Amino acid sequence: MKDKEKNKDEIKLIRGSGTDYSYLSTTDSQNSASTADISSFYDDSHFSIIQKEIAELRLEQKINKEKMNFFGHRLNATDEHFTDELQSIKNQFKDVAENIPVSKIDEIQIILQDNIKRLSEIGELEDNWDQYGASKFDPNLILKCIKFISKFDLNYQPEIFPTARQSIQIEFEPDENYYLEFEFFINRIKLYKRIGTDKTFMDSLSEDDAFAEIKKFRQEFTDS
Amino acid sequence: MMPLQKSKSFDKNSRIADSEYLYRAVRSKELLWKKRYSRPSSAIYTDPRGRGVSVERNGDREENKVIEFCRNQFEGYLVKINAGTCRDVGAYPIPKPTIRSDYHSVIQDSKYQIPISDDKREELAKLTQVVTKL
Repeated sequence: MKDKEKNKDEIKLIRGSGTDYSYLSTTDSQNSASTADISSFYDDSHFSIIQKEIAELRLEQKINKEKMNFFGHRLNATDEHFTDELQSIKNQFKDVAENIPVSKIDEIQIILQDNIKRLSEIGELEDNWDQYGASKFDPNLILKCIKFISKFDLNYQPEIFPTARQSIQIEFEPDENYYLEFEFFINRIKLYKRIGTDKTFMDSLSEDDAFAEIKKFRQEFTDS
Repeated sequence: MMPLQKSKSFDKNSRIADSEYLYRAVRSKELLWKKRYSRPSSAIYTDPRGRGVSVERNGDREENKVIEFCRNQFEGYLVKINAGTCRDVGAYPIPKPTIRSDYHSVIQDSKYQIPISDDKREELAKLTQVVTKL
């Protein structure tokens, strides 16, 4: 039972690549304080105007940095278009941030930031990146995925992987029995879900459908 | 010039035995690894052109010979899956020799369907082992 509870906490902490977030894991016995922090994560008493202002400022700085990293040298030609897109993403970040205590912003934000960085790396891959003839990725697909993951609650980030068929695979796997996978193509979204041995396959989902499925999946996992 | 992998004594079209392993290079472990579970993502079993997922079979070679050949062809990491296990999952490995290698093979979803379904890819990824860094 305890393991189950641990996993429910860990669902918030699914990691991206490149950075060691093991200190965030509730399985780290030396880090019991972080478990306590997480349990009080939704405590309304943490909220205050000052916290929101600081959070917004930090997010703004981070988003600007990401903009430089991601759009700096690849997408200059259409900068104006992407600036608008970025502004929209930024506004979404802010909406979410208003409901997160500032003490958690850095930890959670770093996971999202890591996923954005990963998508940026995927966007930089050249033809034959997998050594078996895979083509490079359409920047619009990268942008679509960035927008998608930044719409989640920040504390529920997926793992992200490139595929050899110019699609991006977004995976949630809070434990071995629960697996939700979206495959983002430029013109469609495909879903594969497995809960225990029950499997669901869907194709041609809209982003709203995908969000609804994520919500449902989270609920199913929480209720289990 | 690219080294070739040819064998006069080996029947390159012979059925892949259950005991053989199927090897595949993963260039970037960072991009394709699920750190949480210490295994690759099922994304490694997608193929770009609908011809099946390219692998190298053992054939009559020991693993060290496969590694040696793959080191000359690829970079990153070499992973493998047992052919019998692959069939247990319902996937369909078949020999597909090329000019480059008599041992080249592909994994398909089934005899008549080439792209591997999402659930089979998930199973395959879970059963995949890392062999070595190339």
